[in-house]
Amino acid sequence: MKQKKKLPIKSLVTNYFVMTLTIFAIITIIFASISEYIYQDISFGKNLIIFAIISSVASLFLLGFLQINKISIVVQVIVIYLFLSAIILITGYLLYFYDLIYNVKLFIATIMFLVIGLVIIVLISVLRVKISNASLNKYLKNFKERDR
Amino acid sequence: MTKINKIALLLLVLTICCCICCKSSNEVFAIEDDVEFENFEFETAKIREHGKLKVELSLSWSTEKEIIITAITSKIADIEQIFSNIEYYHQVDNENDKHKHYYQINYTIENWQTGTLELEISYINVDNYEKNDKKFYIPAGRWLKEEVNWTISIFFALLTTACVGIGTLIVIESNKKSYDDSNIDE
Repeated sequence: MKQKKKLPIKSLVTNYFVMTLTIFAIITIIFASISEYIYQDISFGKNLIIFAIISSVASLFLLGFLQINKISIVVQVIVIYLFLSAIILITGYLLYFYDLIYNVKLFIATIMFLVIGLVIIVLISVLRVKISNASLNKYLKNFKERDR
Repeated sequence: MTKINKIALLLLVLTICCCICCKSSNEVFAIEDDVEFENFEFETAKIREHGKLKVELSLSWSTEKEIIITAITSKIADIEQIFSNIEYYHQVDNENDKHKHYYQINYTIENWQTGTLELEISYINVDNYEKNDKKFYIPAGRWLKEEVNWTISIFFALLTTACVGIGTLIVIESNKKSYDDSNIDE
């Protein structure tokens, strides 16, 4: 019993750290490139602490959400994608990476492509689920026929 | 009156007239009293504070006469910014029995993205307390412009979408893996 309790906690903690690192990495890559190329801002380093805090908090929310077992994989994908997009847009707006006065084009282009990306990722998820279900059904059918 | 006396009187009157003209003409005095700014140099640095773009200008020059800088006026596309009570660095050197005055000012300009900057330095010549202005024109460079075109915007938007998509897949896969691991042990 004790071993069973330890494993879920260990997997939860590992999962949490994986998510934190993933979110931190994507935020840093996006904003480091924007900061370096567009704004030539060399004081970007001070934002890393803010990114680390945002990543940790966001991962906690995602971990809590993913513990709910009755959500289908497609809904999970949509919610996680929208959640990550919202984090990127809000962080970018609050830290002035998305400057709505002088640089509206970047903001508009980002929103447009995030919407296109959502459509693509939902299609991919639906296809994967269909293929997985089809192969599972085929396997079950073969298993039943073998029994006969 | 003899001819020589007439000529002498005429010369005297002409001399007096010249003196009066020279005294009353501001243009002549301004050119004589206008202090030359030698080795005028400027350096620019772009900084961002709370998303607002600011350009820090560092101006330096030397003069042979001592001056007091009273104000700096900057103008970009008819928008004027005037600063008085300026703090500046002043150093005097004696070179070959000549006094050389070195000046340096740091000045910050806000919202300069395009257009030529017209900089006017108002000063007072210490010798005769004459007020004067010096104008400089500093063109905007490509480095100032922060608005990117649609091509660059689309590139960064694609990067953002790719990062978010990959991040989503990693999170889903890691959650799936941890769920599978806990099921295997049960």
